[in-house]
Amino acid sequence: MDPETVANEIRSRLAVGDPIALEMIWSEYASDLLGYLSAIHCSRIDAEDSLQEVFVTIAKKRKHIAGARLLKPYLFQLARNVALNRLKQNRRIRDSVEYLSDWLIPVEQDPPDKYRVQKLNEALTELPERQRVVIVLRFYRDKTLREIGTLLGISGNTAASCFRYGIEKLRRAMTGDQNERFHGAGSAHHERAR
Amino acid sequence: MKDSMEQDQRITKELGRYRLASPSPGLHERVLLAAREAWTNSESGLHWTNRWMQACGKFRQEILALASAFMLILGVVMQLGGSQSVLADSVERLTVMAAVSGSLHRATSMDCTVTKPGAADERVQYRLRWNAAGVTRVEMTSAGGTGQTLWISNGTVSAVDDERGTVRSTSITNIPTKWKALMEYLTPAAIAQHMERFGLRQADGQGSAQPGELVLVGQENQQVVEIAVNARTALPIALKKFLSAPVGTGKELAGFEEVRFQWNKAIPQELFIPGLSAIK
Repeated sequence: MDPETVANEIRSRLAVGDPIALEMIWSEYASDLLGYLSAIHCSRIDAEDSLQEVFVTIAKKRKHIAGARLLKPYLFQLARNVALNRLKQNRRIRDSVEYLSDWLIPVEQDPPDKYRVQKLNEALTELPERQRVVIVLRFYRDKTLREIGTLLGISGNTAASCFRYGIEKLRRAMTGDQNERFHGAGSAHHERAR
Repeated sequence: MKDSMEQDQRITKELGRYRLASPSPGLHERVLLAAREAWTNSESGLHWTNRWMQACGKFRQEILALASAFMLILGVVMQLGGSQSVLADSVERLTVMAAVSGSLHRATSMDCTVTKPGAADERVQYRLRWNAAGVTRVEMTSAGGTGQTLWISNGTVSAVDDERGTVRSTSITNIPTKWKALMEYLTPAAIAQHMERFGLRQADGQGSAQPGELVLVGQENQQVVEIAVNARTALPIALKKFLSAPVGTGKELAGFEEVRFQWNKAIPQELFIPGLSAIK
C-alpha cells in the first residue's frame, strides 16, 4: 500500500475512534519518529519516553490529528514539541547527571580507530539540533533531503544547506579547527548547558 | 577544495560506522499500552467534559465574573503578602512531582522491600512485586521467620490455604489490618498518588545523595518523608519516613519506615500466579 493510502486509512480510523489506528501508526511511523527523537535528545532512553508521550498525545487528540492534511509531517512536529517540552522539564532534574551517549553505537564491536570514532560521536552531538536531525535522517533513516524537508516543514534547499553546514562542521571538528565554535543554539551541548 | 571534499567523503564514511541504537525490548508493548489507556481515559473524560460544559453553560457569565473577581483578590493578596516565594515553591513542587509521577506511570515492573515496625519492637519486612498486567505479589516475613504470601489483582486478594493447599480469594475490602498499611505501595500509580500528598521538593542540602541521585523531602502527618530519586529516570530508589524530632532538641531523627525500590527488571511470570510458587 502506498504511504498516502496508509495515511488516509489511519486518518479515517482516528476519525471514527478505531484504536487499530495506533497499531498502524506504530508500524508506519514509529521507527522514523524514534530516529528523529534520538537525534533531538541524543539519548535513547529519553527518545523512547518521548515516543511514548507522542503516542499518548495521539490517543488523546485523535479527532484533531484525523484532520491533519499531511499526517507524517504533523506527527514529526508533534514529536518535536514533546521532545522540547521534555528537555525543558528534565533540565532541573538532570543538572547533576553526567551525560551518557547511548543513542548512536558503532557498527563494529571493536572499531580500528576508537579515538576518531568517539570524536565524531561527540562532534555530532554538539551540532545544532536541525543540522544533527538532517544528518541522522539522511544517514540512518535513508531519507532524501527533499523527504527530510517535507517532514521538518522546511524546503529541500534548506535541508540541503543544513546537511552541508553540518558535514562542514563535522569536518572542522575532526581536523581540529578550534577557531570554529559550533555550540550554537539548539545543540545538545547548548541545551544541557542552559 | 579537493582536500575538503576528501575530508567530507571520509566523514560520510565514518558516519557509516555507526548505527542508531536498537529500541529497548518491550518498547512496542509499553508504548501501545500507555496509548490505549489514554485512548480509553479520554473517551470517559470527553463525556465528563461535555456534561460539565452543559451544566455550566447556563451560568457561564456568572462563572467568568466570579473567576475574575477571585483572580483580582488573589493578585491583591499576593501583592500585599509578598507571596512570590510561595508561588515559586509551588511551581518547584509541581515540576518535581510531574517528573516522578510521569516515570512511575510509565513503569513496567516494580520490586520493592518495605520494612515497618511490628508488634513488640520487631521489624516486619514485606516484599511487593508488581507487573504491568496489574498483579501484585506481597510476601511478609516477620522477625520470627514466619511468612505469608498474598496476590492482589483487580480488587481481589488471593492466598493459599496451607491446610487444604487450595487458593482462597476474597475482596480487597476484607484484607486484614496488618496488610492495609501496604496499600500505598501496591502499584506505581498508588505510590504516585500517595506522593502527591507529601508536597515533595528538592532537599536544600543534597549531602546525603549518592552520585546520580536527587533527594526530595516532604511531610506526611507528623512524619518527615525523604525520597532518593534516580536523577536520570526520575524513579524512586529509596523512601524513608522518620518521626519528627522535637524542635530545638537537635536530636537525630529516628528511622521509622524504609522502602527500597527496583524498577523495570524482569520478574518471572509464575510468581504472579496464586499458588504456583507460594514458597519463593
